[in-house]
Amino acid sequence: MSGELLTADDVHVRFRTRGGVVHAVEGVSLAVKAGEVLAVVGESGSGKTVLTRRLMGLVAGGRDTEVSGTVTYDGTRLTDLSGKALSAFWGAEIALILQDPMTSLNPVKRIGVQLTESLLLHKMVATKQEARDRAVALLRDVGLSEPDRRVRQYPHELSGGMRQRVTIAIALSCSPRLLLADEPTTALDVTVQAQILDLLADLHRSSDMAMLLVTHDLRVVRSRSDRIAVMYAGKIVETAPTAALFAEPRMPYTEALMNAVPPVSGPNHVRLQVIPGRPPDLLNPPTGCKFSPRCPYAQDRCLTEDPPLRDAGSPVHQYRCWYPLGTPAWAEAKARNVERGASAAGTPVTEEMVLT
Amino acid sequence: MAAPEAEAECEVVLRLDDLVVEFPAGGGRTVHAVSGISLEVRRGETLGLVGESGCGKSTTGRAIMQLPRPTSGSVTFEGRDLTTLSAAELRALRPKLQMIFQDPISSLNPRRRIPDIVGDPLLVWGRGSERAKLVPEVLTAVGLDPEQVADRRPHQFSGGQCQRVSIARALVLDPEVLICDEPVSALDVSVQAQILNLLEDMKRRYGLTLVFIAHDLGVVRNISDRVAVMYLGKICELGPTEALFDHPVHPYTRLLVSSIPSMETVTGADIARADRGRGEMPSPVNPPSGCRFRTRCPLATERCAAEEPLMREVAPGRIAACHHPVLATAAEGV
Repeated sequence: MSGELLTADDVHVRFRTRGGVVHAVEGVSLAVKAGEVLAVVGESGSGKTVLTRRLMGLVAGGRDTEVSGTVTYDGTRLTDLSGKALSAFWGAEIALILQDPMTSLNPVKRIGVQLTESLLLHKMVATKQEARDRAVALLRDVGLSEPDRRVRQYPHELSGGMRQRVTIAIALSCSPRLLLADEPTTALDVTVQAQILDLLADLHRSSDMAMLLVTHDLRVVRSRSDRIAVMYAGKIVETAPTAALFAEPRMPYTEALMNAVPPVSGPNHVRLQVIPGRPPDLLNPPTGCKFSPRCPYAQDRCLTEDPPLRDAGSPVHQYRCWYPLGTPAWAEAKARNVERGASAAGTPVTEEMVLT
Repeated sequence: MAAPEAEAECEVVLRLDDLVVEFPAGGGRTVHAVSGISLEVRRGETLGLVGESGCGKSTTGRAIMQLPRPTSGSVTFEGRDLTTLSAAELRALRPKLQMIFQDPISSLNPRRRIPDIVGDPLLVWGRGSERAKLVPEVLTAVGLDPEQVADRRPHQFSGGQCQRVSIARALVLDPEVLICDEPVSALDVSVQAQILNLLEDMKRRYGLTLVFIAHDLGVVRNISDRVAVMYLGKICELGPTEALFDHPVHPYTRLLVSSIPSMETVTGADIARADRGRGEMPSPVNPPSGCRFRTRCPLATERCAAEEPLMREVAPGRIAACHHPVLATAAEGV
């Protein structure tokens, strides 16, 4: 573990659409250290995918897109670079795996050609023969059977899990130091998901590559990340080392996410903690704390003032909340809302919302 | 009628017997989607049907509804074999057998208002006059405000709310059996819990029997009383939920359970990893001989290729189709 490999500072992304301005990413700052796995967790519309693309430089300012803030990779400010200069980093230094292996491969090119493209582009190999040998070796590394035959096949001849292995092989072909994985297993079956996550963990261990693992499922990252950042409505609402986050969540949304997932041990027919309402509309985000309309503990202050990121004891655990879980202020807020049967936002507070 | 109490408790509402569903795949080939499934669903229980995509779980759900009619085998509902009924007779039974689907938005007509969508089943059955009373009642039951939704259409709602509307539409006729085909997999985690709790409430309130089809094992584990695990068109294990998840006897169930991403910190994760092995489900066009799981099974022997294992009681109360079940003593070692 050395210093920070990638840092994002106050990143904003806004899209102008016919319906208004979408505040997709609102002032996200994060850092990925060399060799670590940082998980970004959020529901659909939380801005996690747009953030990933912005980190890589795939979303840039334009007619309908406003961006601000900086992204620095190993001393180079990526946000200042032109598209052409950026492409020297893509693949070679930073690689990306997308959710859907069906659409992220080119259907009319053989697997081998797609695998060697970035090797040849970045001049990592001298000859085509060398590139081919490397492609076969890469496919073997990601656990594909019969790699010699696979390089001549087309994507449609492979299953979803095999295709995701191919996209991982492509991402790893130039030995990047940072891998961004955007929901790499969401489209896959559970047994294949476990295989792919194991593979990523093995590769991470053997190559000391840093990873940004984006997912909507806290369960997926529980045993596979060093730190977690929880996103909601374009902001990081809590970030902490994985163990600390699970042991002592401070932000009500984090806790609710954990309790909303059915447990896999103990008795069944467990009453799940309900988060009322739905993820916020990014065209008209709520004022104050973005989670306040759904939060069972919301008070008047939450509706008007947006809480800043604050330290929970140590600077590695930060959260945004005026009434953090486990504090006397929270207990008071909870008691008040249970008594009046509603939060300050008018959301009815029922017992199933405040199980803990 | 004079049956002892124990039997009365296990009254069978729905019985599938050697159900087979095949589809033509072009080139004279056949997709063996469901290959001989026998199941009983007891009144008042929730039966979970799990498996990976392509295992035939949704096809089974649809075959129960006769959508389309199965290739062979029988589906007995309240003593009548649905596969032999005429279209008109089947139609008369439909109010008792309702279904909700995975994608809540596309399963509602976008041009119609919510109360009309929910009230339609009543109109179809000549009970239009009851709409004024029943529609607001069922909308309230699923957590929607009848006055607020009166003029709205599906696009004005989120996925979770549309799923509530689908549930209301299914419940308005007061069915006996509700078949839920992946009802929460299109929803965000925070919304899933709302719908799962709602289904439990509705089951109690309307005295429903649920067939719950899903690929998310955590979800199935929590909502089901019994679970059937499917692999490549066949059931490989059937049993009470907790026993099945805590001590799976079929190697495939064990693989599935060890693959669940867990909220708890994983202990012995590396042992489980060895079990996960490699490979994926073969094509249902050309299923392996003998046991269909043998190509991925760590315990497979020659016998598994030659002889198809039948569903049998491998341990007290545990039913599985396997020549080499993982029994309690071995299971505890894992």
